[in-house]
Amino acid sequence: MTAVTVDGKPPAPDDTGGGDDVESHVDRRAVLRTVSRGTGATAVALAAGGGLGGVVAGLLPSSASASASASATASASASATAGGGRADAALDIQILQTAASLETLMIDLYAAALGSGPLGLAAPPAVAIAAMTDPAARTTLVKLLTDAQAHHREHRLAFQSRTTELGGKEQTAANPKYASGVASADVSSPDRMVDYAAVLEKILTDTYVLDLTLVENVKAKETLASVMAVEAQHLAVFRAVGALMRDDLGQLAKIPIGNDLVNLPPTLAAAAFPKALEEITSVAEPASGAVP
Amino acid sequence: MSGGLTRRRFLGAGVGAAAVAAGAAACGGGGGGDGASDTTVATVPRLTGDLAVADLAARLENLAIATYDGLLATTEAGTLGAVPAVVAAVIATAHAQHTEHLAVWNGVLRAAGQPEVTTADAGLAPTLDGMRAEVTDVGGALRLVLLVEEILSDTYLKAIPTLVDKESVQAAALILVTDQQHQAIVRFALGENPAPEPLQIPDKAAS
Repeated sequence: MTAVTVDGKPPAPDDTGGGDDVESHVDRRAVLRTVSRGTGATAVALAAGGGLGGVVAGLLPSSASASASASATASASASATAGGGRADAALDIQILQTAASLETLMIDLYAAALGSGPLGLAAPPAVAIAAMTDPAARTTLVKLLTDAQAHHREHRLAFQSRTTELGGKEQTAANPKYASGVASADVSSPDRMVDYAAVLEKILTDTYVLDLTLVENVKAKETLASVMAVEAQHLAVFRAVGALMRDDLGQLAKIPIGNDLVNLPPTLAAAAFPKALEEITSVAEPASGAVP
Repeated sequence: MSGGLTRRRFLGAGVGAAAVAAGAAACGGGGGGDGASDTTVATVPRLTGDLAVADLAARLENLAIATYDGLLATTEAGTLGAVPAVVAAVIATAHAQHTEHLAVWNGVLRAAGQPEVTTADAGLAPTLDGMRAEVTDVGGALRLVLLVEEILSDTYLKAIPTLVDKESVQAAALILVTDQQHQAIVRFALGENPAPEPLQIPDKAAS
């Protein structure tokens, strides 16, 4: 099986496509600077972790650590301060709107797989899933996709609600940075569909991890953390199902697993949670899904 | 970050507290400053803010490690009967990852001049030890693992919005992600829906 990327092409080892590959330590002040200027520019300046933060950074995986100089933070801080509370709220709104746009992306992807998208049951992933020969595995995959889609609907509602509470407009569209890639992705087999779902769930998870370091509003933080936790579960599940399919054990991707528990490979654990601390590989930057 | 508390001021406060607390550790304190003598308590500030979260997190990571040590010993002894390979692998992998998580928080505490936390949360350990002693089968072992992961996850979920230092936020978030992944696969092994709720509510958070 060939791994897929967000744009449907085979990935480079560290490329999930579409998003901005960044060191995960994005400096809020640098992002705020662009918000307060009213630009849509991507701001992913890196900041060194001084003090206690620097200690944590040293213990995190290299790709999730700060690496640039502290001067980046210092030079950005003055203009960020000038933006004041309005800039804080503006960035929070952008983050929430982008989060809603990512949720729509997932809802649309899973709609295609479930035959409820624009192409109906003729959508390639829906055709492929319908053709799965093992009924338990097919039923389970449909259930996982259905539940995940329902979760993403609730996540979108939560993000939209937080957005309007802060005075922003609801984002109802899919994230434009990723939408075309998702629409054209080759998800014409169950294993490709599952792998692609994992790629996108990883992008959402990574994005929300990073957003938590940027957002100021407490309710927004609570929502992001709560949603991020569920995306992490989706990610583990799709990784596990994908691993079983790669090992020609797709028939074991069933709920309940029952007596087949003994037949699950021990490698499933490392497939589902490969690292103690996930490396942040691709994120949707705050402006990418903001309402213009 | 929020509250006007700069990282430098935060670090300064932590170091200052550590200097005062140093004597308490020798009196049997540490791990949060509790348990010192009456005389000492008056002069030792309790850990607050991010350091208090780091202390709690370290105690819980030790709790997970100790619980899984006990479960792994039980499985190796054959007490639970035949243990599916995937179950042993899930527990062993989660154990190793919690050890890494513990190192993160102990690194934070050490850098702030606080003693590392090497023991499990005293409030929860007796309860979980008792539950572990009553585990008689694989299903029971998985249930206990799920409970531990829920406690840790919910604690991080509750703590994240309170953290000031953004790299502590990031560390807690990354650890929460992993603990949620543990939960999902444990539920799958139990035959349950691996992601049952649309939103995670921290109703099992420790404090």
